[in-house]
Order: sequence, then C-alpha cells, then structure tokens
Amino acid sequence: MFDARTIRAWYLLHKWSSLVCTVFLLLLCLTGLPLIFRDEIEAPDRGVAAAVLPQGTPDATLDQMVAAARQRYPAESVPYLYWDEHREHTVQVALTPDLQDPRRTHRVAVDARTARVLDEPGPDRGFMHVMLELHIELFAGLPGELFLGLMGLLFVASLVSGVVVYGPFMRRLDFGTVRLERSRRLRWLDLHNLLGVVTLAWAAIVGVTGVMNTLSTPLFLMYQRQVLPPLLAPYQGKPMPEQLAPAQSALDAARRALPGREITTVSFPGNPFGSPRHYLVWTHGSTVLTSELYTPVLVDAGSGQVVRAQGLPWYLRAIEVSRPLHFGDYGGLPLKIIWALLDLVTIVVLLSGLYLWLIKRGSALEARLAGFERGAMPPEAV
Amino acid sequence: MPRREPGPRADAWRVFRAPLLLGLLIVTGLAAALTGEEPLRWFCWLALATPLLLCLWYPLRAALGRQR
Repeated sequence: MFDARTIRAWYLLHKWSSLVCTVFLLLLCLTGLPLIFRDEIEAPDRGVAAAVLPQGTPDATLDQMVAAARQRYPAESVPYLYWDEHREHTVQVALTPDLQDPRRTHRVAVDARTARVLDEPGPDRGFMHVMLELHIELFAGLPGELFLGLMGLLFVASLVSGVVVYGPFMRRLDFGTVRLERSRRLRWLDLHNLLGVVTLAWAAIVGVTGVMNTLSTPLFLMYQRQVLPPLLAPYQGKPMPEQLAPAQSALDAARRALPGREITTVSFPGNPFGSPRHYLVWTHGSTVLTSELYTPVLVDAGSGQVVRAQGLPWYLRAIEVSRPLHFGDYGGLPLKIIWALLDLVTIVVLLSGLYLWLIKRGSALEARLAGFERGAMPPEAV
Repeated sequence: MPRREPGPRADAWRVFRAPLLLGLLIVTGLAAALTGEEPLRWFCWLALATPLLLCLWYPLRAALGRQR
C-alpha cells in the first residue's frame, strides 16, 4: 500500500501523537463519562419549584423579574437572564458586582409568572462541576481550553496515522482477528487494532467536534468584533441614555421580529459577551437540529427597536451543529448509554496503546518495522 | 518462494472494506438521530450498537475457538 519508509513515518506519527495526548485523552474520557448523564444525575436536585397556577397564566414582565432579583442585591448589575430549561416557569437572573468579571456572577431564580424569588442556586461546586471544569479547561480558563483543543488535534492525528498503519499490519489477517494463543503483546496489539478501527468513526467525530468546541470563545469574540462596531459607530462619544428601554420591550420586539422562535436568553447592555448599547435576545428553533441554531436579535437599548436579527456566521453555525455530536445527548437515553460504552472502548484503546509502547521498546515491533524497510518480512510474522 | 502477491489496491480494499462500511454506518446513524424522528432514532441506536457488538464478538469468537 505504501513503501516501507512511508509506513515508518506514519508509524512514528502515530506513536508520538498518541504518546503526547494519551494522558489528557484519558482524563477527557473519564471526566466525560459522568457528563454524558449530567441531566439524569442532576435532575433530583433542581431547587424550589415555581407556583402552581392555572394554565395560561401570563408571565410577569422581565423588568418585574429583574426588580425582584435586584431587591436582594441593589448594588449589583444584571448581565443576562435566561429561562431555566430544567425548571418550569423559572427565569434565572444573573447578577454581578462587576460586569467585566464573569467569574463573580451569581444567580437568583425567579418565578416567571409571579415574579417572586424562588431560591438562589449556589455557585457551581461539587462533583459535576469539577468534572466539567476538568473536561473543558483543566481549571485554567481559556488557555486550558485551547490546550485541550491542541491535545484533541493530536488525538485526531493519531487516529488518522493509526488508520494508515492499520493497513500494513492487517494485510495478511482477516478483519477482526484476535490471536489469543501467542504472546500477550500480540493479543493486545490485535485488540488495540480491532477496538480502534471499529470505533474509529465515532472517535473521530467526537474528537473533531470537541476541538471545534474549544474554539467557540475566540470565534464568538471575533464575530462580536465584526458585528458591533458599525452598530455602535453612531453612538460614538454620546452618553448612555438616562432611561433604558424596558427589557420586556426588547423581548417583545424580538418576538415580533422572529415570530415562532423560542427565546432562551436576554443579554443586557454592558454584558461583555453582548453589546454596551443593545439588548441581545437569543432565539432558537424547536426541532432537534434547529434548537442548536441560535439567532441573536439586537435591540437598541435606548429606542427599544430591533437593529439586527440575523443568524450566526458559518463558523459559529458549524460549532453549534457540532455540539450534540460531541455530547451524544440528542438521541434519548439509549444513545447516551451507547456513548458511554464507546467512551469505555476508547479508554481500552488508549491504555492498550500505552501498554504496547511500554513493553515493546527494543522488541519485535521495532524489529518488524526495520524488517519492512529491508523489504524482507511478511507483516504478520512476528 | 513466496506466493504471488495480490496487487496493493486489492490489498487495501480487502483490509479497509469492513472499517469503511462500519464508518458509513456510524455516520449515517448519527446523522439520522439529528432529525429527531422516532424510527430514525431506532436506526441510530442499532447503527451505533454495531461497533460495540463487534468489540465483544471477535474476542469472544477467538476465545471459543481456542477452547475447542
């Protein structure tokens, strides 16, 4: 298929890309495992339920909800609020003493219809939070996230090079061969090859979509920098209006601009992930696929008029579509269980690869590759 | 004398035929569930369970064969 020297180059790429990323990939596989079932694990502990009211009871206005939350923290500002997808008729109002420091943000849960405070979800701590932080950014913020993205790229490189070296290794073997009776090393080599190639497409998809996710913050900031300057230009040097348009009017305007779409989040003027002069109303569709596709509606904070309601650019769209394919949370509980089992298989592939490297040094495998180079040995004769 | 080698292309096809089919099955399975339709979800579950079953089947077959 390839000449011996090319095979050796691919083999070295497989060896080194895997060795560098294996520890981090093991961490990602282990922390990812409970995250697959996050909804199920967290479901029993969702806090105080909203009041039971007759169906069709209208919602209070956003401004009433914000006022209820701010009554507890009069000195703080609201960067955003969102409808809690796990708690019926509940809006989470975010509050912070410093808009520029997202880490100080905390939440107050408000009943959407009575505008009464329900409870204050504590800061995210505990097992799930540790898993999530480790999985996304190693407790190291954006640099940690980008570092894991790099490890993900190495993982993808090791998958590609693994496929290439799979060819010569399997030339004289039937698909699925597992030689149990010879050496322990050969047994694990066969299992590594089998489990690796059988789950390859899944691992590649989860790997690539994971890498894409690590880029979401920088890409969003890039998009924000493209969209906002022209919209903010007319306000250059002018002070903020004394009286902002009510948040409810921004919500109503967004609903009129994009009827039929669900609204998930309203970002308030001054939020660093929004605009200093606009409300940002995030909307999405309601099918499995379109629920991933968000359209932000920008509403002028002074006039309450919609100034822009366009879908995200292709690079953010790609990240949106990639998310369910990384999480495996879009096909019911059976798919989640399958996701977890495939994750376990990947752990076996990683560990067996590590094992093969540890016991092989100076042994048959290297000799065999040297043999390829001399053009002498048939590949299955170990 | 070694026996005559089949062409490299025939080799590649023989080695990669099964992985390629499995890859296609996984990709179509994942895409099917994105539509959210109930029968297609079933297809997705079956498609994604196939590699898992193969992970069990081939080692099991080898172990049974050894006992005989």
